[in-house]
Amino acid sequence: MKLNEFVVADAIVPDLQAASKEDAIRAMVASLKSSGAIPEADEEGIVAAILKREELGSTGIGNGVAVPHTKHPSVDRLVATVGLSKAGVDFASLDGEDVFILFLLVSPPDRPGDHLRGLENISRHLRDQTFCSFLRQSSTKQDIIDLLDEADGKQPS
Amino acid sequence: MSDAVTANVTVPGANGLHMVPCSLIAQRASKFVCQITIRKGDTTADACNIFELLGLGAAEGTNLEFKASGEDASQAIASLVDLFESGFEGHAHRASS
Repeated sequence: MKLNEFVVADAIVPDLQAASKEDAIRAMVASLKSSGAIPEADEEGIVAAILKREELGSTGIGNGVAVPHTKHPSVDRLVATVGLSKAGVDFASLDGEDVFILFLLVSPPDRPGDHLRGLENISRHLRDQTFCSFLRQSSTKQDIIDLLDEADGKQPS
Repeated sequence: MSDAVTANVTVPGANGLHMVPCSLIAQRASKFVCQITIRKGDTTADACNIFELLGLGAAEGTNLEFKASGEDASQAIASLVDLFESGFEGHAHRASS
């Protein structure tokens, strides 16, 4: 599974304006809605489900990265978006540091394998400091799309 | 070099090693001084590194091999095997602590 198979290009938020974890999640889910990847009627339910998931433990997993996610019946395939915060967001991360790179995932409840492969793919790239560094320097949607495409090209299929 | 301690486990739960189990493994592994790795096929992850654990993409039923070397290796492996055998139940609320 490649990044560009589930990251919705139109929903990428290159300059995420968010003062809190909830702001960040709301803005990214709103962007998924605007791109048509999730139904408008389910926007609030998806935000609530992601926030509830965060109560189990922060998805801020260190290195300035967070991967907020939920399963939700409104989608029939894994969809995701990327958000970059220049100022950083307090995500109550495992390492206590602010988050600058966010991947937000919504997956169908009956396809846990897709969710796992999405997480696997994202994690493999995000443990690469060079990838994170280039991502943080990206300022446009196209920069991010190009970087994800390049990462996909390096991935063994 | 001290002998390595190994154990084999099977991934429990329909969701596989998603983020909550990986956080729990990394948290628990970090409490020990020994080096612990988890291998799936030809991919090996540092048990303290959540990115590497998630990068295994280990689905339900996957066989994994733990390997630890160091003074508390036996205790570390026993503790991690317990965690898998519990199915990661009853631990989730501590994942963020």
